Amino acid sequence: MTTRQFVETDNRNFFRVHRQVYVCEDTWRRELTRIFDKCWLYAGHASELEKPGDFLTRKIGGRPVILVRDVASEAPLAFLNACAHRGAVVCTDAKGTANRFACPYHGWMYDTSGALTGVPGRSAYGRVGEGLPEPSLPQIKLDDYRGFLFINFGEPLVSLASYLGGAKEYIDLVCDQSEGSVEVLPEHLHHSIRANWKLLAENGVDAYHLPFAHKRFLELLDSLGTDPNSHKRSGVGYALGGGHGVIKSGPPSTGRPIAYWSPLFPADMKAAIDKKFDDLVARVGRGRAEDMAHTNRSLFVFPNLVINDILGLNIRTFFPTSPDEVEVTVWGAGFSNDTPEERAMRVSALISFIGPGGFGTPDDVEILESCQRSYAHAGIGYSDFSRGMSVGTTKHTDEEQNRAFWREWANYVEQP
Amino acid sequence: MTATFVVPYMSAVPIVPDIVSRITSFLALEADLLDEWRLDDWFELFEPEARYIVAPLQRAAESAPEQALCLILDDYERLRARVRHFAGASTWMEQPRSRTRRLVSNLRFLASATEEIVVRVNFVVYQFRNHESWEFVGSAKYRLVPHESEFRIRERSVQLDHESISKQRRISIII
Repeated sequence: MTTRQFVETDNRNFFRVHRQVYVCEDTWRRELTRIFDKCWLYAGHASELEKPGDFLTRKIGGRPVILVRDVASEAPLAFLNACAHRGAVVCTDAKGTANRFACPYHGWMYDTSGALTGVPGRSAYGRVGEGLPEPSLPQIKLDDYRGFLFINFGEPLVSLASYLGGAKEYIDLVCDQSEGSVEVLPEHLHHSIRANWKLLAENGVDAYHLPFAHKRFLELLDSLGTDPNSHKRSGVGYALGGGHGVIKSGPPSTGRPIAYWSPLFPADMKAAIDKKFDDLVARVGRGRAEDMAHTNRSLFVFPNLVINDILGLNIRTFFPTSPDEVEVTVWGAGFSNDTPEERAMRVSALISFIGPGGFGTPDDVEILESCQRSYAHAGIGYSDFSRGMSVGTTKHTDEEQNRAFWREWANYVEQP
Repeated sequence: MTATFVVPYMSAVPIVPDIVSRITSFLALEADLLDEWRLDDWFELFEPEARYIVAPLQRAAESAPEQALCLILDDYERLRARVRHFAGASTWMEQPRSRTRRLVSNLRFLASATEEIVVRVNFVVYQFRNHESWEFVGSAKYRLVPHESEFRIRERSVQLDHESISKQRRISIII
């Protein structure tokens, strides 16, 4: 039997996690420095920075960050949204287009490469460069996988591509669905849950809970004309290495905007969606087309990203503001060649389930908060992740992908 | 979502004097039905083809609501399901049911014609749940159609003032 501090398994029959991990303040602080300051974190999508000078500001990994497409190099760059002088925020707009950022505190000015271009009363510093390093906006390492932008606050040991490893092919399955490129939809959903962030990491790749926690969503579909038997899915759950995991199942009874019509979509879109499948087969072959269009896939990228390619394509990231609260941001996505009708269909299907006003997320919020309440201040007992283990199955309703998360989590947090 | 201009109802729009009190009463009745969880009666206030919208929080959308990520964009059928779910046993978000209290005020007429009246109100909904409380603050635009002595709702479009659904975490009630 392997016994670590919190994660316990005999590697055959059981895998459990002490509930202390969901409430312990010290553990949370270790997570911030050992996980969130070391891992590649999803920051945004290239489609949000269309042209040079386009920027957006958002909190990533708990810190204020500017993502900007540099005017000179046209490359997306990331900076801490903090003046090199004293740390005041240099950009207060949520998004826009700019050539420079000016600090409101003492007027220091930066260009879109982060270089300091103006210091009021510069002569007071003497000869800059001699004894005083030329300051710049604090740059954060940024890397791009097929338009998905990740940042790393530390000194990354591996490139983003190596970090993503086995998760890459599932991102490819998203990107290759269309001849258009992935495009993040306008606006996003932002809410919190009074629950530990790891409960959401588990929930993102948990197909076991669907028919219970989300019974009413399936009933909504049935009321629109979906065959209730079609919700009986088969599928797989895989650990992809590095703590990443995926669940993949079909038939996708809730519909796939890319090429699988369901009653959640307008009836007059059925012919167009059916035709898209034929086009997909012609372009990528039947096997890959079926993978893309006839399965729901939820990809978890360690530590805090879920790419749901389900009834609507969406990107969800989350961050713990304390041991018992997590902030969640959800972006919808489509493709650059979507028609307005297709985009409307994506929005409508996506928010039917996802987000604070959907028919799915609020039930998850209520249930996850009830879990957190039961852990209270010291966490009594263990949470179980043994499903599928002793019988040797890796179904989508099993928990190998959750165990993979916890193994990786333990590597980061429990090592001395 | 936001109207481009507001018509001061006392001057610009020719309206019969008692329309203000009729609409005020109608909106108070609507708030009562929601606070009392008489949702079937509330749903009766909607016209077929009606929509219930909770707009994105970012307020940057220049596009139509269906082109951006709204919080809620219900057509009549989805609204019917939303209402029906509150009576269901697996609507975990409202097990047990929350208490609410709504304050509706600052009635403004955005457009007034015989076949459709557009009004905007400010609102606060207080919600009490799991021994916590929070509130939703915003404005609601109603497209109303005269119906017998009252009105029917053609569109009920809510713009929240919150930057995030962080204090509330979920929209488990009709706001």
